[in-house]
Amino acid sequence: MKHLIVLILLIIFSTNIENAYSQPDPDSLQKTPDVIGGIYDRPYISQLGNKIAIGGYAEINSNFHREEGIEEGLSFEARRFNLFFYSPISARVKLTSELEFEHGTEEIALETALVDILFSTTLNLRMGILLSPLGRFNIAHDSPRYDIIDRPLVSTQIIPSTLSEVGLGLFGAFYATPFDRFTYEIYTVNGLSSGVVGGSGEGTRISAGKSSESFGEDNNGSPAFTGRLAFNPSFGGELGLSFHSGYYNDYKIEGEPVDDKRRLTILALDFEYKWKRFHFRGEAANAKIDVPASLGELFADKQKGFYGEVGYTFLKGEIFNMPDASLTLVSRYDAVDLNDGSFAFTGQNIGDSAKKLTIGLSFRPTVETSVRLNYARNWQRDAFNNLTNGMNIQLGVATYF
Amino acid sequence: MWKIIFTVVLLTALTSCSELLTEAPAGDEVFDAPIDGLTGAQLKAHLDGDEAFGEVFNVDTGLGPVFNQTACVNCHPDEGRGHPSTNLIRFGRMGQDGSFDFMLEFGGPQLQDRAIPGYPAEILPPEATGISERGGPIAVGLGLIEAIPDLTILANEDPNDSDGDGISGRANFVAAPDYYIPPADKIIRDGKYLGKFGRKATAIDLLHQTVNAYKADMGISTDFDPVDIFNPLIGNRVGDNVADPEVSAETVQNLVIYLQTLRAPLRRNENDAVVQQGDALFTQIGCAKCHIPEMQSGSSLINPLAFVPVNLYSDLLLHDMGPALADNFPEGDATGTEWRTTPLWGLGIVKNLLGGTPFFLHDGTTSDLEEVINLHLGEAENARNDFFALDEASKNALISFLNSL
Repeated sequence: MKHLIVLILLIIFSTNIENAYSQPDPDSLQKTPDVIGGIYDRPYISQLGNKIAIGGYAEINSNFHREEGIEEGLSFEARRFNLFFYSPISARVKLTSELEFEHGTEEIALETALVDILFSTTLNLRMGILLSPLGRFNIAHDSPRYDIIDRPLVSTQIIPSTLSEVGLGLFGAFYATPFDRFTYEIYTVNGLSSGVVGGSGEGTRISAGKSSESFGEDNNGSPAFTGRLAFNPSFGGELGLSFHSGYYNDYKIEGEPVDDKRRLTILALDFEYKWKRFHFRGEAANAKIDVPASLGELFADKQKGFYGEVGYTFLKGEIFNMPDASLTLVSRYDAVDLNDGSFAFTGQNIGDSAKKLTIGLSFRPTVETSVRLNYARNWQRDAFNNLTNGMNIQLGVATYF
Repeated sequence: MWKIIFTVVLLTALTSCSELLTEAPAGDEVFDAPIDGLTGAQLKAHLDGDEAFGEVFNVDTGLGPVFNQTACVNCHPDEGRGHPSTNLIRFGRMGQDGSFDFMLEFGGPQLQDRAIPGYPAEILPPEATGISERGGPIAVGLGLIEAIPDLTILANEDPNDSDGDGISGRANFVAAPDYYIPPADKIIRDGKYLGKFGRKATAIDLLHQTVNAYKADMGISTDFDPVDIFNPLIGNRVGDNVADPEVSAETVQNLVIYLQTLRAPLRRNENDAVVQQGDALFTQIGCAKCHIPEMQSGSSLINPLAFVPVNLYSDLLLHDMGPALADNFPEGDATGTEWRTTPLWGLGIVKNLLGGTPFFLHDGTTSDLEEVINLHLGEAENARNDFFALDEASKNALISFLNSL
C-alpha cells in the first residue's frame, strides 16, 4: 500500500496540472437531456444515432474487507453487467430498456422497460417499468458515471436504489428563462410491498419492500405516487426535490380488509454541481413508515440519511498516450440512521446506524471508463450502539460500451 | 496548495495504519471467542453455530407468527447480556387452590408481544398476578457450566438450612422434553432432571435451552419441537405461512456446539491490590456462599471442557432473594421469590457490549452495582448488610473486584 501512495505522489508532483476549465454555453442547455446521466444520456444513444441500439455497462472490482481486525482475504466481484436496448420507434415514440445481471447470473432483473410518447417539451407520457424519480442517484446510477465503487448508503438503504417500478406518468421541462430550466417527472406506480416491515428481521428495511411480484400486480390495489422536480440554474448544476408515497402493506386480500392501511413516505433532496475541476454531489432522504405498534422499537418508524461527495480532477489530458484521460481524487461521506428513535425503557438513542468515509482515485482513460481505487472506513452501530469498525479497499473498473 | 494538502493527508494515513485497517479489540474486553484446543471439526461447527446465532429471521424464514425478537443476538448482543428494551415477560396467576395457572389460553406462560405484519400480537391479560420481566443473560462459558456434574452442584444444596447460615440453596428439578437424552451421570428425582440454565434453572442443558428460545422467543419451530406457537386469542391455530419445522436439527446442534465452545470471560486487573482486597471482602462478608468462585467440570466429549476449573461465581442453585426482587412467578420448584444464582463472570465486560452502559439484575433495572447489592434481600440480606457496613474504600474495592470479573 505504501508503494502505491508513493506512486500517486510521484504522479502528482511530476505533472503540470492543465487548466481545462471553460465556461458552459447557456445555449446548449436546451440540448441537454432532462436527466444528465439518465436513460437518454448514455453513449450508445448519443454516439450511435437514431437506430435500434444495444449498449450497456460492465463493472467488476476486487474487495479486501476487514472488520474489527478480522479479514477474509482478497476476493473479486463481478458486480454488474447491464444491457441497454433502445429503439426510436418514431420521432415521437421511443422504447428503452435495461437488463441487469448482478454477480454473473446470480440475480437477473429487467430494470427498465418503458415506452415514451413525446407530445411536447413540457408534456410527455411514460409507461412501463421505470426508474422511480426518487433522488438523483436512482435515476442516474450507472456505475461508470461515478468515481467511487460502492453506492451511497442513503441511496441504497433509505432510497432503495435501484428502485424500478411499474407504472405510468408524465415528464417534461419548463424554461423559466432561456438559461434556467425546471424538469419534472410524476408517476403512479405499484409501489413497495409489505417486505418493508417483516422482509428483514433486522428491522424496517425499505429495500426489502422491493418485490418482483409487484411487476405483475400491486400487492394492495392502491398505487403509490412518486415524482421529482429539478432545477437547472443558469450557472450550471442541478437541484432536485422528490418524493415517494403509498401504502405498502397487504391491508386488503381478495378485496377484504385484513389490516390497517400503512403508508410509507420518502422525501429526498439532491444536488450536483461542477465548478472548474471540482465536482460536488449529494443526496439526503427522510423516510416515515407507519409500523404496527406491536413491533415497537425493533422496527423503525423514521429513517434518515445523507451523503456528500467532492471530487477534484487534478490531471486532465494525455496520459499514457490516451488523449482524453483524467485523474480524479474523490471523497465521500455517508451517514444513515435506520432507526431514528429512542428506547422507551432508557431514553437512549436507538443505534442501527452507519457512517462511512471513502477516499478514492479514479483514472479515466476515456470519459466512458473509470478505473477506481477506493479506501472506505466505516463505523456501524447496532441497535444498542455497539460499534463495529470496518474498512474496505477496492480496485475496480466500470465502463460503458 | 492542493499538493500540500494531499501530501499531509497521505502522511497522516501512513502514520495511523492501525486505525485505518481496524484492529481487533483486546481479548479480555469481548465475549465472542472460542475456547482453546478445539479440533478442526469442532471449530467448523462452532463457526457454523456462530452463523446460526447471528441469523436474523424474517417473515419468509419462519419468524413468528408471534415473537419477542428476530435473532439470538438481539437478546445477547455480541454474546453479552440483553439490553432492557429486549426484556421478555412471563406471566400467570395464582389459583384459588394455591396452584399457579400459566394462563395458556391467553398465550402464557410467555408474552410474545410482537407479531408478523397482519397478525395480532399477544397482550398481557389484566388477570395476571405473577409478571416476570427478564433480560437475556450472558451467553458465554455455558459449555463449562453444562459440564459441571450434577453431584458437584447438589453438594451445595441445603434446603433446610441445616448449617444455620441463613442460606438454603435448592435445586430445580424439571421435566425433560421428549428429545432429551440424559448422560450417564445425570441424577433423576421423581422422573425430573436438574435444571442448570435460565433465570430460574428451568432448562436442563443447552439443547433444551436453545430449542425453547427458538420457539418461545422467536417463533421458530425446529426438528426437536416442530410446532409453531400462535396467539390463541385469534380463534384458530394458524401461524405463519412457512412450513414447520423451520430450522433443522443440524442448525440447532451447531448452535448448541457454538454455545458450548464460547470461551469463558477473561479476568482483568486480577493482580491489582485493590481488586485483591475486594476479592477477600467478597468472601469475608458472605457473597461467596452463593456466588461460589470455582467449581470443577466433569467429563465432556469436548476435551477442553473436561475436568477444568470453572470460575463462574455461582452455585447454580435457587435462593430466596426477598420481596424487592420477587416476580411472583414460580417455575418448576422455584418459587416466586427464588432465582438461580447468576454467574458473575463477565460482569465487568457487560457495558462494553451495551454501547457503554451496563444493565444488571434479571430485568436490567439498574446500572449501579451498589443498587444491585442493595436489592439483595432474603437469603442474601446478611451479606448485603455487611457490605453496607463497610467503609467507602472497602466498598469501592469490592466493586472493583466485581468489575474485574
